[in-house]
Amino acid sequence: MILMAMLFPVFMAFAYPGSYLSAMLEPAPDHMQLAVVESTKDAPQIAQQLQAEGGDAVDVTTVADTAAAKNAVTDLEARAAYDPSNGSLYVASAGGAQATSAAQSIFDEVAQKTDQTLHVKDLRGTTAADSTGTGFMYMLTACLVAGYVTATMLTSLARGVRLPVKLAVQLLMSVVAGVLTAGVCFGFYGVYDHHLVGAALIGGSLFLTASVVQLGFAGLLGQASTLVGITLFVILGVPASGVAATPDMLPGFFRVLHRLLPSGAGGELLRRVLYFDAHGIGTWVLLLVTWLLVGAGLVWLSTLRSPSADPATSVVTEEREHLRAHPEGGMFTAYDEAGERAESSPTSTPSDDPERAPQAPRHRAPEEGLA
Amino acid sequence: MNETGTNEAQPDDRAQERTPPRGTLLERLSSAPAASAIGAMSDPTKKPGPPVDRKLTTRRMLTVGMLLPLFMLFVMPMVMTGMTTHSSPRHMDVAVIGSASEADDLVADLQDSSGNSFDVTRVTSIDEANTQIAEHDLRGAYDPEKGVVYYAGANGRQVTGAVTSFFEKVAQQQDQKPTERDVVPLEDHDPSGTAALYLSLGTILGGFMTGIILSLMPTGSKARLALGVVMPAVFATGMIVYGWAVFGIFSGVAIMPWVMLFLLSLTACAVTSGLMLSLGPAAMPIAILLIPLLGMSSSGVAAPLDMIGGFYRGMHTWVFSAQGISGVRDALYFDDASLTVPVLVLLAWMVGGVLLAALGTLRQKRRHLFAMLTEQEETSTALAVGAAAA
Repeated sequence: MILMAMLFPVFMAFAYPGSYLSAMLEPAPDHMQLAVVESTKDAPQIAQQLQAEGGDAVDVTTVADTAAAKNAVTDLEARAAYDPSNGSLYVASAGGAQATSAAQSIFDEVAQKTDQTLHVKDLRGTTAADSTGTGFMYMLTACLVAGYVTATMLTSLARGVRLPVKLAVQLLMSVVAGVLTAGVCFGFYGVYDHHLVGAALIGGSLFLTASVVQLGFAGLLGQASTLVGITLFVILGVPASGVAATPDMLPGFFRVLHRLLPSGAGGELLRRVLYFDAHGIGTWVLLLVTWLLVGAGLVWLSTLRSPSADPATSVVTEEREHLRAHPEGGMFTAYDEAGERAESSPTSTPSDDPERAPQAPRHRAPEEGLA
Repeated sequence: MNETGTNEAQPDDRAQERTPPRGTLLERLSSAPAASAIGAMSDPTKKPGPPVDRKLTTRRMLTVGMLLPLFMLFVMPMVMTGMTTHSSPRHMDVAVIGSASEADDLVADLQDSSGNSFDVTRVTSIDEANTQIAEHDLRGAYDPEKGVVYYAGANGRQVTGAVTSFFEKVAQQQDQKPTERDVVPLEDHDPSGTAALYLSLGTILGGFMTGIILSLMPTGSKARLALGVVMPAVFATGMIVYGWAVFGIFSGVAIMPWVMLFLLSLTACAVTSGLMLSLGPAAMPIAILLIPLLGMSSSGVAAPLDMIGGFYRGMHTWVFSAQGISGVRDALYFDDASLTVPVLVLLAWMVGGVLLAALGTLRQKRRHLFAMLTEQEETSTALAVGAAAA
């Protein structure tokens, strides 16, 4: 038993560094969006040459004028935009210091080849306190981890508690999450002085999403949900958030995860709200809401399990046992097993243990609630 | 099952169950049930209480359970955000190379102009500067005659950036074209210098989780001791395989890195087990704060200690996980740096952890654990603590 249990630390010890090293050991541009202003006749040629030399590392486009270049940078549609007529390079370092530095190096070579001196113009710098541009990293991580832990605690310690109460606790805790984490970032450290409400709302939403999704996993998968949750939210989630290394500096696998996981949505939302006037947040809000709905769906599915099922076991185990007990039965038919036991055993009554032998059939009446 | 519908044993049954075995003290202790972190919360020598109120118990457990996420929500950003903000040189040790009085004048000028950012001293030769950089006594040095800046790339990008930009300005003022010499360069496949941190994190988490599980499961002390030594060795070996074979970051001799990784994991396991066996699951927030959070933030590897708040420098001195992570980095890159302090700090904490575990085990054995906990409380608490520790 204890040797089997040791598999868990082994998983943690190898999965964490494995994921983090894969994602962030050698950050390098990968399909980094760059723009060249069509201010000279040579501009298209410069863009083509840069694309040919950069290969998959860069995706180079041309923009009509300086205003379009600045918009592309401040809308996070381009990492940097170069004006070959005067050597100006427009960047937004708040979008990622490492990526900005990489883009600067790329265009430094371009400028040298065209006998220009590079003039870097930072259109969106970080706040003085947030010199690394990652000040919101642990706001995001704390909300995800605490959301996961809250669901775990609700599953393990509050077995008799009805689902609406659990959801209410999650909602209340999400408010606390937003207030506490934003309070530390804005109030205690003074990292940011704008967009407090937006940041707190994002923190709370991240917490709620992680918590509801994990509650659903726990209801369906039992103890195995611990591994699923920790993998989804922390082991893969934190590197894929795009905060420590921006998506265009991540390997392809993590870039895909960045667009799929709630942590990716959280990282983008916080960065865009704090530094980029909330530009382009629609997609990421949609992603977060989708995860919240997925979580709600998982929770709903978990209520379809037999009430007599042990919460520590998974739905697969339950169905296997159910089919063994009722080989002739239908796939979706629920049986009042407690009633059967009561009939076959006159000495025991269903009220002996209300959690393990409930009176209710598998499909309960709506008025009973989702207990 | 009693009349109240709970699984509580009746007082008479309890009295029979708690009849102590006969024999010497040692025999009686060894025949007592195995100790565990859950058992640390109980005292079977107390008289049985009244029947359990299941609803109130659930409410209490739920309330206690919410303390851990609240702790995470507050402590994680408090400890970790400070590591990423207001990052700038604070009394960073640098030197000017030279023996002439001109060097002294330059030292005085730089000290005046840099304020509290840099502590500028003079060294007499390039060799002395390089030695001090390799031994962590200096972050960088500048040779004003040749305009060369010496630094250790293995200190990370932030330190390198701070040192080179500081001396580049000096060189420009002296109409010199500065050149840079990396005395302790990073490996090609570790351009950010974060490999040491991630490998250390693997061994720390492995040791921490092993400590949690070994203390949660009521198992014999011999098995606990054996697994407590074997598992850290597995983690340290695994991280060496990661660093040398899987990711191909390092190529040199791996003995000292393995020793440091093993000691780090072993100490994390011992301290976690000791805290859990003596304080019960209430020790988990302490272990989380002490081991991964303070360890990472005050190690000086994730963020340079002379570029963040003084709190982290204070923690670095005595927190074993911080010393361990910086020890792993030194074993990987800084061959000339002494590992005596990290090893001594790790050993001291390990001994403390083992002593705590022994005391906690003896205390529980004396009390005959588990007699006061219901089956529901035992199972639920063990599951919750194990899962939350992940």
